[in-house]
Amino acid sequence: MGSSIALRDPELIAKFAQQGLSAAGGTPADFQHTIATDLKNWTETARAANITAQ
Amino acid sequence: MNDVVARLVAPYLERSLGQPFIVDNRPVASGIVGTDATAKAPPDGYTLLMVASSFTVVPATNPKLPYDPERDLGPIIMVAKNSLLFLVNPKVPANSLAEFVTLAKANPGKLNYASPGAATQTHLVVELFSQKAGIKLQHIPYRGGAPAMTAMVAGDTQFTAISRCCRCRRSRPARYARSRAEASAAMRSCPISLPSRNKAFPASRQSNGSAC
Repeated sequence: MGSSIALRDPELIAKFAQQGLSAAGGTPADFQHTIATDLKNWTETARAANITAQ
Repeated sequence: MNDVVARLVAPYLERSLGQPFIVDNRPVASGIVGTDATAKAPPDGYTLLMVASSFTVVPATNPKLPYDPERDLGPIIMVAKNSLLFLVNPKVPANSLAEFVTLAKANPGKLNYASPGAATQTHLVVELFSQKAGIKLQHIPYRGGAPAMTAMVAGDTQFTAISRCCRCRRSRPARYARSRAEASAAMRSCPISLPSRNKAFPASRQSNGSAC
């Protein structure tokens, strides 16, 4: 996949570093798992703190 | 940040995919507008979405979104990671997260923090931090990250948490202080989400990621 190839480019990695970022990566399945986990965690946090969008 | 990252990545995607990329920045409503436009675009592979962590924060506090983040969009790849910085006003008598937690436990509800607004990432991150640490903090929402940072530097609030390192680094001397030395005196940082030192704040201390 072109996106993972692009993220391995040392020039892009250096540009990320200049912005205080680090290149990530992984598979679509990895990313889907991260999204699902974050959605669950943030929903639980918001519910516990009674936070809703205004 | 999304716009910055998208414009950094676009030339490399063009090179590896052999297709031109046009970055269409739609920054309003915590990314809801841009995300919805992508969710409703023809599913032909020619419209991609670059999102930040707000992609998962927004649904947690807004059940009436015009899209379903898991059903209407397909994940491709996590592009980059950004450290989260916990910034305190130097007048706060705490030099580490541990000291800050001790201070907060001794003063429940008296320490306040600035966020770019209610239900934003900063708001949820600090609430999660509070829940894990067993402390009670007062939330003061502002209209955006710059006013929140200004309030913390001015001492109107005791601390804030930010993740937009590049924007903060670029704007810090101009917006928050007149020099690097003055900026150092105006805020103190404790990185809490990454184990390595952040290049945007080279003088910041490291954390092992288990600060709570």
